[in-house]
Amino acid sequence: MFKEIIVSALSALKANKIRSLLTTLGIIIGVFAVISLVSLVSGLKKDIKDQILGLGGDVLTISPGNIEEGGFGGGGGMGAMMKSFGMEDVRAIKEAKIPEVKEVNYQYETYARIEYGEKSYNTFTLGCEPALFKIFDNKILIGRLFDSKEDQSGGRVTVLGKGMAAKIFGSADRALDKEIKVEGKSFKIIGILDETDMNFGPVDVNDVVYIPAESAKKYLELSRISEIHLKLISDQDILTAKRKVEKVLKESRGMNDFTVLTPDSMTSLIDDIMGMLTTALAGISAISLLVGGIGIMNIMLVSVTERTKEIGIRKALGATDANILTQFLAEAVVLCILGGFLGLGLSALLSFILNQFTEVPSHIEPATILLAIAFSASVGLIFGTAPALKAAKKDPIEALRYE
Amino acid sequence: MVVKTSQLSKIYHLDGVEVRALVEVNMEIKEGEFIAIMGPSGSGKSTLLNLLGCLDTASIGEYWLDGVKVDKTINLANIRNQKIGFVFQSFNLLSRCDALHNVELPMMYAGVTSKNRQRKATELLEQVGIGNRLHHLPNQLSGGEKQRVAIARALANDPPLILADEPTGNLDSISGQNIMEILQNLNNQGRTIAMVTHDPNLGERADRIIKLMDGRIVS
Repeated sequence: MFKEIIVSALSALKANKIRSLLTTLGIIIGVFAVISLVSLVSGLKKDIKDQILGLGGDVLTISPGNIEEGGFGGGGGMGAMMKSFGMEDVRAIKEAKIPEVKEVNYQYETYARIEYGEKSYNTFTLGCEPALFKIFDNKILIGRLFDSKEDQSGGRVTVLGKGMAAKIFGSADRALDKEIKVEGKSFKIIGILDETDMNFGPVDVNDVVYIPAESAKKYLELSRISEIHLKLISDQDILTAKRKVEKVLKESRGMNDFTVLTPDSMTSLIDDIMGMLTTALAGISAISLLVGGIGIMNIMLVSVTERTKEIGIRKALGATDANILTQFLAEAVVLCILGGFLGLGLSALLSFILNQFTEVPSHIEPATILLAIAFSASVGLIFGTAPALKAAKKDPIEALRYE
Repeated sequence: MVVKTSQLSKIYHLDGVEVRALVEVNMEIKEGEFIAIMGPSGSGKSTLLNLLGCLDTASIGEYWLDGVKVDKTINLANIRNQKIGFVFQSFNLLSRCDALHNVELPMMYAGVTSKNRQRKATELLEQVGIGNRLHHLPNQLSGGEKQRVAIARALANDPPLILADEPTGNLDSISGQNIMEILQNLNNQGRTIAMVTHDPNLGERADRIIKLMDGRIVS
């Protein structure tokens, strides 16, 4: 019986091909929107997570501001200045001699003016200790990294990301031993870093200019540390280390105005943000499914009236109210599911095009497909019920008389 | 006894006015009988047919069909499916379905398997002389052929009663003759047929005529 119901529904829909297609257009667009948006967000999430996990599982990052109190990133302005770190914080952590911590590292960040001849760039500049390269696993391509002697003495040497070197000099190998000006002070290029996929949020790591931390303090007049990185002995100790560092910093600063981020907490933060985004987008797209559902109901009501005679004939031949109800409900559901699959096909196509020809990642998850089909089937059920009930309730005598 | 009614009445209320469409009808149809129901328009023919066909129930009185008492308490759809074969004046075939599928329809509602349905429907269409038109749609068939399909459909579940409502009304005289011959053949094979008509020539070919006037049987 089930097969017959589906076959009969399909043949009824086939009898009015154009109308069926137009009717289900709302569902097609709705499912297309839901799947495409959700896939885009999920692709983005995967991308960002991959980058964070690229940092390695044994690095703790201490940022100013307390995430739980809504102050992540310092919030900018005076608040940010007050909350950022100083050398005293680095010293406090170092002197606490936490056994799980292998290295303590800090960095100054600024956007500095880089000049070479006529060329001038405003670029993200990091003042750091040589150990930072180890923490982030940066590989040298040409030349060498600066050493701790150059760091402690505030040497005027610099290491460039490959992308930045290529921008200034055309190609990375021409940059070595040249002098560039950072905020008007000359620095000698001693090394070029190999390309990496890692990102600091919006900053492309390949475009970063690195100078020794002391030099940043001395020549760029940076006094506040923007981030402290701790390299641990093993990634097993992450939570113990996190607790201990929090205790030390809280005591030395007198308040809890910082956040120790583990790779896990960073990914869960991303999950939270992306989850909210997904819900919001899916909600908006669901409205188009709703509109599609109303379209289905409208056309099904017209169809029931048009086919009054057919309903009368079927009832005379022995169709029960339930038979008629099932028949029209099946048509609505089949129509919606077909629309769902068409929408799915469209978004698969879009996803393919995005992944093939652009940098925008898109990732359709099996759960999304199931959700979309289940959703369009329920739209059919919900909006098909009223027309199907109307059909089932028709009086056979009057229906037979209908012309 | 295939049909037995006692004091069968149907009363409608139109804008508060009582309309007695059928008044205390007592009639019987024996197995194997071919009866004609005749009368001018408004005499209650259609009302009687609707009651006999279990499309409607009586206001007063009783109706027994093939040993079952027909009233609001039973599932009329199943009774129609099992005990009645309709032949309409305007054929009433489903235009989207081919001849075979139209004949299969009552069997589908009876829950017959697809294979058995097809076999039976093919047999019946062959029996009414259009075995070569199984996969034609109704609009590819002539009026006479359509009515043959309708007769085959009426026979699908072997119902004890065939109700024909002006079966030749929409046909030319030759096709009409052919359809009457088919009905008479079926009757000769033992089928019980009740036919509504206003054509006296057709009425004469039945075993018996029930004449209606103003909702009552007059002879």
